[in-house]
Amino acid sequence: VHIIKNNDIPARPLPEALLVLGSALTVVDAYLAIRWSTRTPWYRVNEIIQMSAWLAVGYFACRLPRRRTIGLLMMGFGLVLAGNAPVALGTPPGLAAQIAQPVGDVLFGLQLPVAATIFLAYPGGVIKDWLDRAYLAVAYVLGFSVGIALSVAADQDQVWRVNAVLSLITVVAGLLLVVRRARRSSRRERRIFRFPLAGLLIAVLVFAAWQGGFLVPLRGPTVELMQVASVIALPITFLLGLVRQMSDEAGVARLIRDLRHTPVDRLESALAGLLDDPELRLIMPAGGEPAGPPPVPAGRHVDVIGDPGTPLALLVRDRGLCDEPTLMGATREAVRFVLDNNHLRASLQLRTDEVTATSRRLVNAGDAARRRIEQDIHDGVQQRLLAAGMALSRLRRKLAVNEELAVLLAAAEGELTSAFTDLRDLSHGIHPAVLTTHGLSAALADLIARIPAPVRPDLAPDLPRLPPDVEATAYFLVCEALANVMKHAHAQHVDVRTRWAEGQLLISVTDDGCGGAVAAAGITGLHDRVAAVGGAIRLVSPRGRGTTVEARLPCG
Amino acid sequence: VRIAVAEDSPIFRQGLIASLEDLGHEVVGAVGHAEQVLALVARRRPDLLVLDLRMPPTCTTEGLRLAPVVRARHPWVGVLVFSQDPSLTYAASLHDSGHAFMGFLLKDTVLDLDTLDGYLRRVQAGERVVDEALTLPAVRRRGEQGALSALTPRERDVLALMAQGRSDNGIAEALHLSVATVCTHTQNVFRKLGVPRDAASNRRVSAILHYLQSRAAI
Repeated sequence: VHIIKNNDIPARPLPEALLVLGSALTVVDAYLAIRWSTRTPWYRVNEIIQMSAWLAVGYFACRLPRRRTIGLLMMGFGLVLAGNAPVALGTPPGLAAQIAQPVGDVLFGLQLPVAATIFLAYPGGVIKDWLDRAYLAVAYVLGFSVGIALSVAADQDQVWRVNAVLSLITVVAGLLLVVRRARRSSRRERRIFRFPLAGLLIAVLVFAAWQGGFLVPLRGPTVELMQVASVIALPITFLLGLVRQMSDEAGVARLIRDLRHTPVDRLESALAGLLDDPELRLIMPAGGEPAGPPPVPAGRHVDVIGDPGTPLALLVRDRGLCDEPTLMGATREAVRFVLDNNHLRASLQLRTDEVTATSRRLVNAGDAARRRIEQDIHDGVQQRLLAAGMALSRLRRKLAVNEELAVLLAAAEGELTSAFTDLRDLSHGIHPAVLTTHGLSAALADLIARIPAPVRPDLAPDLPRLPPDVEATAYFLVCEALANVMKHAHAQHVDVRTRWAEGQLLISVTDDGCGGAVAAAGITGLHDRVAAVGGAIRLVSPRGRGTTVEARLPCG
Repeated sequence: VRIAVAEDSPIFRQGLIASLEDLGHEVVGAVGHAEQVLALVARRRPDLLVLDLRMPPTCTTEGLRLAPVVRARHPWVGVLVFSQDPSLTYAASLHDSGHAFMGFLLKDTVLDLDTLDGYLRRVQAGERVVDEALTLPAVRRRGEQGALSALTPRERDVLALMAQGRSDNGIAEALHLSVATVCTHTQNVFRKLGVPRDAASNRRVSAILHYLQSRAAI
């Protein structure tokens, strides 16, 4: 797990000190260039621009987060150039010349190694590769030797020729190392390296032409112009590369904004796009099992998202992104946010589903109990009442009864018949058998034909058999609504309507009565029932304008 | 009359057998399971089968399923289905098969043995019978509203008797009218209610019952 460090700009004033020193040298160099130099104007302008550019760009780089080292190296190169310039430009004879000459010569020898260091250390400021280190060590030794040789040699031309050959070898070897590094780099590392490489190409061409000038005289305005271009191009391209990285980090906010609303199944492709890493993989543990460490391909790096013990996911991405801890820190947080959110949503949904399923189970259990009670009444007490009634009826036929006894018997039979019909209605109200055997439409039609209410049925002719709990819910809804109409509404007509549309059962009971109904206990109870089967119920009852109870029951 | 009884409740079965015998009928056999009914009828060859609607194995609508089968296999056996559920759907459903010699009664008919005997004899005489306790509320209630308000009181009386399964002759007898007059009334009823004309044959009862049960169901 990466710990994101606070990348504050260090308080140590080394860059400022170097800037002051470099500026002072530049001023001296400018003075020499104007007053003493016998070089071409192009050459003089070049020298001054070059050192100023490296100093300025280096200082600017120092102010970027995590770019202090590379910035210091760039400033160092500017200082080397500035320190070498008096020799190149020409100094007034005397003490100044005697100090400037050896310093300048030694610094001249260091130009190439320092430049190579910048290349090999870019953009992180650290050189880890052993071959790079060895190369630089050799380059510094050679450079320093050339510098010393130049400052002590009687015949400088001889040293210059040797230097030209050594420089060429150094440059070619350096180029090979850069190519080697590019080949080993991940996609993102190469991308950051693109700008300086372009600059390097220009610089190398010009350098080759310039050095070639010592071997084969080659001078002219074209070369001078190219040299100016290279002088500006190289530090600028380095800076562009670094700034490009900064703009990536500025994209963190956008990244988080975009990722927040990304569904989990598109997270991987979204990350790949945002981080410009097409091979990025987001591995999520399946079925709660923590994913084992995946094989890490060359050039890839694995980030653990969430608690390392029980990771939410593993992010396999470009190694080059390690160089951007802010970006990656934010990315990890954003991914964790999305995954956490998703887990919460999923568990909430699961809980909701459980609650819905439980309510539905309860409704079903209630219905089953109603069916059982109805069956028990049917098989038990109803049969006994009928048997008792038949016995009375037979008794009446067998006894030669007097009038008084006949009245008593008739009263008993009447009571028994009433008891039986009451019980039959009660049992039918608990659960009408026809609802189970013939479905909702038949049960509603029977209900409407039986009750003393002015009902106009309008029942869907195409209604298929629906899940038992839906049919029962619809049936009891109509029962309750009709009971309310008969009790309270004083209606001339009641319309009972069922419709079947797109897997949904629509029911409405509308009367033309007095309206102003509030959700009574019965309707509230139905509300829960309807909700349990995933439906919705609505009561509209403006005073004086009738009442409508509407329900929508999904049967998916 | 030789009667076979199919009824799963022993207490009701015993009472019913005793009552039928009191009425002077001969009970030639009794079973308590739907799967025994056809064998009983085939073996005992009764004039009439009294059949419970709800019987094992499923205790739902065994009677409705068995009645047309018995009628088809044994044309000389009348079938009377007893139901505890006051459902026009069941009554209509029974008569959908179009068989004569069939009746649908609510079980509490047995509380009045004379009425029961009347129904038995009507079925045995080849009528289609529906318990008037089931049809009368529907006819009366409908009479108060738009659907049946076009009928004259006499036509409504005729409708009530049609719903009970009476033939034109039976209606004429019950209302002390000539058969020709009844025929005019029944035609008027069909026309005014919009019940299809071909329903005037052996499916007349089920058409009327379906009409009463719900216009949407026709």
